[in-house]
Amino acid sequence: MKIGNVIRLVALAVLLLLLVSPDLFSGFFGLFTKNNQPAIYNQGNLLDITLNHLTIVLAATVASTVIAVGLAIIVTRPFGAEFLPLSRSLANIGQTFPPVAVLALAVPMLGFGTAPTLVALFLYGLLPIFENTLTGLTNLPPSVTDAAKGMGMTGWQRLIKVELPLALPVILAGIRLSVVISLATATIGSTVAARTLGEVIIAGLLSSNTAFVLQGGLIVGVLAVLIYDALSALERWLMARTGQLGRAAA
Amino acid sequence: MIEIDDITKSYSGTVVVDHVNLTIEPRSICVVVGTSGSGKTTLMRMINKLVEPTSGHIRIDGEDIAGIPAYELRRRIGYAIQGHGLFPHRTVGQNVATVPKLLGWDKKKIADRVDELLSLFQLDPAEFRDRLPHELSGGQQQRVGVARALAASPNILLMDEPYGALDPVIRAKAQEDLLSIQRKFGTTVVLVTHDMEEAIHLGDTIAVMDKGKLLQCAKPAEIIANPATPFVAELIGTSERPFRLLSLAKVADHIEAGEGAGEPIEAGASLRDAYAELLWSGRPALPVRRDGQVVGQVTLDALSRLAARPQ
Repeated sequence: MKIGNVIRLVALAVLLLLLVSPDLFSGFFGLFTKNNQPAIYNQGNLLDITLNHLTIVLAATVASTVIAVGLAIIVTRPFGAEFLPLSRSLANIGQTFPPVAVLALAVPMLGFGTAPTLVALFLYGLLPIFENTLTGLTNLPPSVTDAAKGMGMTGWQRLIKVELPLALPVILAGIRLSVVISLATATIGSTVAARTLGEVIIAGLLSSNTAFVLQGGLIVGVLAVLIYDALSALERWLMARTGQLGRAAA
Repeated sequence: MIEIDDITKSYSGTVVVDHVNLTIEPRSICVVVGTSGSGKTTLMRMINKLVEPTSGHIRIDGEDIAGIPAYELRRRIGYAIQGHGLFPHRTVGQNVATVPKLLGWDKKKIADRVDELLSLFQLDPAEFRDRLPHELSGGQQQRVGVARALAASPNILLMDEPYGALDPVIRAKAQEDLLSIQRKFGTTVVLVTHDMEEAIHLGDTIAVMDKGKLLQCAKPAEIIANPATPFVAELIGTSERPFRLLSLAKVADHIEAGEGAGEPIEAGASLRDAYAELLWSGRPALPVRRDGQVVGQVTLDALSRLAARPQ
């Protein structure tokens, strides 16, 4: 086994241990507390909060994926080509809006809680997936698309059987970027009372408890690295399987 | 039979194919030759509606293809292209099965057909069926590409520079395969190439195109003897003419009585090969062997006469 995978496995094991029985680490986090502050977050179960964090990210990413991939498919069909510039700008706007601003604007409409966070993550995740799906669907080897047409596949058959499978690794790269951005951005959701790991960080900031800030930050960071690596490995596997390793992942 | 009737294609004012008339006889190989930009590929792609003509008609066995939905027409016409165009994410077997699957054949019939075709192209089905295209050599990929084009037993096979990416040895082998398969199935083949040598070797008729116009369409011997324009003559190559003419005929058809000395030549070889051997070995005559028996000879004199411009 490669050294990188050993480190990843160890990181995963430590992370799980921290989530399941945080008290084991109270000695370590105690080093960062002052004046008998609690070393381990005490206003909720770390495991529950982490699962909730992941669920929000997952839900937002699934929604972004469906919409972004759908849009990219439509604008790469002959009937949707006119909408390409429009949909590009829409996705760009989603990206340039700061997530905090989206939260601030969404709270009056959706109230406090998970909903505004989901909206912010959803909008924020659209662009990378949309752009990558476009790249994947428009940079297919011309001889392959020509052959698919010449064989007598209809438009949808070409999309389902040839174009999407070949674009999949590139689409997946977009999803990976989107997931990592969302994992980090979801922490901000705690400012509007969404139950994410941001809650741990904010509690630490409010009570000047470095141990809390460290716990929340570490969990988010390790999760992001592990998920990023797992999706990268999946992409490489897909590329190798389809003999496309030469094609650059965007 | 493919009848191309006064067909024109222009892209925003630029005429790519200019009023071309061409009739391709059934069960023959028609090679369309031209330099790049001559419109030869565009002409071929209009036969399976990958390009829509600006004006004119194409009829296949009397039926105007304008009335047939493009995808249906394409499933009836084999299509093989340069760089093979195999689907990289599907196995060799799945690639070959593409059109039969689109036509809704049942599984057993498709599997049998795939194995039959792979065997026909000297690819052991058990070994190659489940491999991915990128695990094959260039020559093998090209064979799978042609096998895929022939999977649903089409009457017509379109080939766009199918051997462009192959090295000369594999190319010669692929050309022999094509000839024997065409003879076996009686497929009508339309092949596009820029290589006159390939055209003369494969074509029953040769259509020469330049700047969108069809300059000449005739049998190879006729094209070599009487090129219609200076451009056609240039494509053939003036200094190559006698040898191209010799390459059209087989030794078997010009055997004389007598027994030349030395190493014999096979009756199936072309006269060009025989001529080269005569010159190289410095002999006036070569014995001809058929099925291991010496059956006569070919002479340098006779070949020199055959290489002269036909009167």
